[in-house]
Amino acid sequence: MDIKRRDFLKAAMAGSAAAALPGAAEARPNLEPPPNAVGMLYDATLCIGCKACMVGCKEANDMPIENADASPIWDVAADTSGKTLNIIKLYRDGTAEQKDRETDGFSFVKRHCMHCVDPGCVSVCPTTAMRKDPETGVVTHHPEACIGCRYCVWACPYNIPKWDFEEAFGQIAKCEFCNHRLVEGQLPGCVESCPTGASLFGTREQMLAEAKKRLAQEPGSEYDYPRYTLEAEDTHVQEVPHYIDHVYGESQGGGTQVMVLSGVPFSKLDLPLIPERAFAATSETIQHTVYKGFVAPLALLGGLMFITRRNMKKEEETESAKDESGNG
Amino acid sequence: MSKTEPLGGKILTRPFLFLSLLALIAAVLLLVRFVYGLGVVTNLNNGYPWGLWVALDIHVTAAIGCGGYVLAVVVYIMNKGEFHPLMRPALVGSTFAYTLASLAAFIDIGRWWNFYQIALPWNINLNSVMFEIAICMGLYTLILWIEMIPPILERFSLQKYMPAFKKSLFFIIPLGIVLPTMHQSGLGGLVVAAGDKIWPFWSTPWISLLFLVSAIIIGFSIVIFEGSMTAMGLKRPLELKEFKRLSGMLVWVLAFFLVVRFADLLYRGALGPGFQDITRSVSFLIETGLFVLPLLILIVPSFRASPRLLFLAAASCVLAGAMLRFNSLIIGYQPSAGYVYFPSLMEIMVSVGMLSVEIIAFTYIVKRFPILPKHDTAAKSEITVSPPEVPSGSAA
Repeated sequence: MDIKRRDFLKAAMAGSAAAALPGAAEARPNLEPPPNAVGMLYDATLCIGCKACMVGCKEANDMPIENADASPIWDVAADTSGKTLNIIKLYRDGTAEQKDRETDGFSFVKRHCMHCVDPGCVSVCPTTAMRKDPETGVVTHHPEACIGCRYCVWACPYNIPKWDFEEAFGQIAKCEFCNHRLVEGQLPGCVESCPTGASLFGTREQMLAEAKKRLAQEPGSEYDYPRYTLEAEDTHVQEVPHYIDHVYGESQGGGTQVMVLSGVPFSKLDLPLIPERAFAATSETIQHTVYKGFVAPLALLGGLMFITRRNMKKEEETESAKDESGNG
Repeated sequence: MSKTEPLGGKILTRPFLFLSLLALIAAVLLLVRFVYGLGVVTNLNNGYPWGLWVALDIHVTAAIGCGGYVLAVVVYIMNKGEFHPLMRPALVGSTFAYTLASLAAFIDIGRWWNFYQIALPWNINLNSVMFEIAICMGLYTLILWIEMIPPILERFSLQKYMPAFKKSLFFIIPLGIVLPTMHQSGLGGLVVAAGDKIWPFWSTPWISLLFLVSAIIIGFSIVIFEGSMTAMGLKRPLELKEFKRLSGMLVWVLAFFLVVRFADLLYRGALGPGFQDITRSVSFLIETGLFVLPLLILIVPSFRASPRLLFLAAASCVLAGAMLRFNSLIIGYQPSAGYVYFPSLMEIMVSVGMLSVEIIAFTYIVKRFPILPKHDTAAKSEITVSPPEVPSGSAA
């Protein structure tokens, strides 16, 4: 009996030792931004909450209006949803006297896909219905391959992909950086309709540099804020606000291609303070450690086959011995 | 000759008709779900895209289906043939549990008409834990049905095909152990990619191992649980001797689970941040209590001989594993602000209906197919002494 137990433990260890050691093998590092990564900079201090970007988004993507609070007049969404890809939300505190101030102040925030450098939705999708463009880094969704398991909705750290629960034959909806417009050389719908340059389009490198430039300005001094793109030569002078000294999206979860500047802490704007290591990287490290070359499962299978076969043979021998002695 | 026999008796009993009614209600609700969409029948929303059907009907049901997996290890790998009489009823339970879990997955996916996309080679994403689960669970459900062939052959007097079937067993049985090892750990691995959205108690890189070990705990327990229910419901003697020994093994698995569980919690320093929220704290304590209680019962050898305490311990184990799954997937999940979820009555009725189908199917099968061990009714002993050798006719 003891020998058998040892056999069992040996076979079990082949599988479970590998299954049990997250991080034992080489960890998968965060992905790097693609060579021609597009970028967007949303500066909440410039945003006046006019929601023109929401209208622009709906037009550009041909999305229906939505009445989350049953208001008869307005297109009012409560959150990004199966029908709304981009939304302006409001943070307010106390008397909400002053813009871009945490206490007794308020701030707008624009929420849509952050186009992660190392996107969780792409990592978790069982059918590769979520894809990241190897050139531009735009994260697109392909409903023709989607089975509607909603793992992307569940796992996205920014809660962006949305399932349309109202539809019988629904699909996932998410901002795709107006990819269909980018390929035609046009701006994303939200950027094109932004009157203050709160949403700015460029390469990720450009946007990161511009964001850092703004953070380096003296609060209260004057700064030439560009609209649409850095090259559009359409600027307006504004007083530099008290920024939170951090470019949101430079490093969060491995970095994002949409980056945010704000005068109030990012956690107040529904932007989670996630660690630098992408959750996708952790998940894939464990997965690929356990299943590296599919060795562990095959070794386990082989070991178990050997033991099963031997045990079954023994059992047959015992039985035939019994048959002979007239005992069976 | 076979040592198992159909139980016989009436199929259309009162409980059977009642359960059929529940199944019928679920069928109507599912029709509504397929015609009008998930939002009409469920309370699912974009904060909680996974709800009762995912946690209960896929995760817990698949774990409940681990009886066959655990017994296969005990009987064929650890070579304890004396447990063979428990094998067939456990396999029947597992087969229906996995079939229903697969069906639940089909019901829950929003684009069910597209389900085959997961098997298309050009869509494969080896980074996705969900992909691994889908393929492994699908294959294992198939394996379980293959392992159901012997009673079917016997039922229709086709024993001449049995030798050919037995030749395939040395491959089928190990595959039926590797696949659940893979996807039961994978079901826990789903949680890792959600990162900080999962409350500290359950947000661990070791969650795969915890799900796997708790599935094994449920596997042991469900054999005892289903066996006790069968003994009570179908008025048969209890296999107390076997259950006693199984629960002796279960003690070690429970102890291992709790050691890993708390080593991880302490190593990550998760207890401090974890207890910051009252609901999740209570839920965590209930889960832990349900794991500790059976350990305290079963560690006492004389308690293992009590059918009542055995049943209590087994039920506690099943609930503990269920709590771990509900906590990891729903209660410990943090959506963005403003979303709440509690399953709708219709959602619950679908789950109830699915469970009813499992009980109906199990009862029908044991009454009409040779599943349960033959009992000498004259002996009337509560403790059954099982035959020393493995029945030659029953392969699985």
